[in-house]
Amino acid sequence: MRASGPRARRASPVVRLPVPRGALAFTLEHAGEEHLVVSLGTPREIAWPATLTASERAIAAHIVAGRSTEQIARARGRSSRTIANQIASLLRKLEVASRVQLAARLQ
Amino acid sequence: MTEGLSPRADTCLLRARVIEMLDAALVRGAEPATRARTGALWDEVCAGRWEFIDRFEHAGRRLLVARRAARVRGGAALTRAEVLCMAAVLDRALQKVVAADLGVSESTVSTHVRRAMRKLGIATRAELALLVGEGAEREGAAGSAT
Repeated sequence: MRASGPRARRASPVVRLPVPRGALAFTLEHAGEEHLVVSLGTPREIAWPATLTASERAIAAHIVAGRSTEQIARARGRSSRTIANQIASLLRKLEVASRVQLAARLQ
Repeated sequence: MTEGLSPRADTCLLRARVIEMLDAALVRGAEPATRARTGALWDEVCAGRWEFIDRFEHAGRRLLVARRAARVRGGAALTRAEVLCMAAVLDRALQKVVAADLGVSESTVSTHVRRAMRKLGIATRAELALLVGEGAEREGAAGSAT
């Protein structure tokens, strides 16, 4: 016990983060290299306010997938300014401060 | 990467393997064993020993694929400060606590977060939020108190 104490403290400064809800992880061999797969569960169901437009709902799904404004703009064929405006109104209606908070709430 | 294949074709092959393995785990009842191993693998992710190279969706699940991180020293590529700051990414107040705890400014905290994201191969903060989740806030606060 005494011998392992100081050594263990020096060797493990690692902070543990909890496993995300419903996550599964496994490894697989591909092209001679080991790969890790993390599978995150389905997004939590939340009651969307009826005031959300169809575009805002579609954009919410993109945000949950972790996509950037530019990526959403390309996927939807709109300018990034339009998407930025739609994200702003989406966040206002859902009463969250940022897309990061939105993603966390749906996790 | 498989020789002679374009990166895109290789990604498709890898995705097909991932889906096959996932179906095996979920459908053919290997799930309990997979679940038991998840914790240990997750700790490796938190230590920065894997970097994410691909993400896609299948059957309502979000899948992240990683390979061994290129630069790992002493068992972990991420520093303790980087993991603490990453855990605080969802919470402004917690960011202040972590900054005070580490004795650095809040902009240094976001620098730590940016470095951690680069090491893990994560492009956006929203994507990081999916990994860190809500539970991480409490864990991070507890970690910084000790």
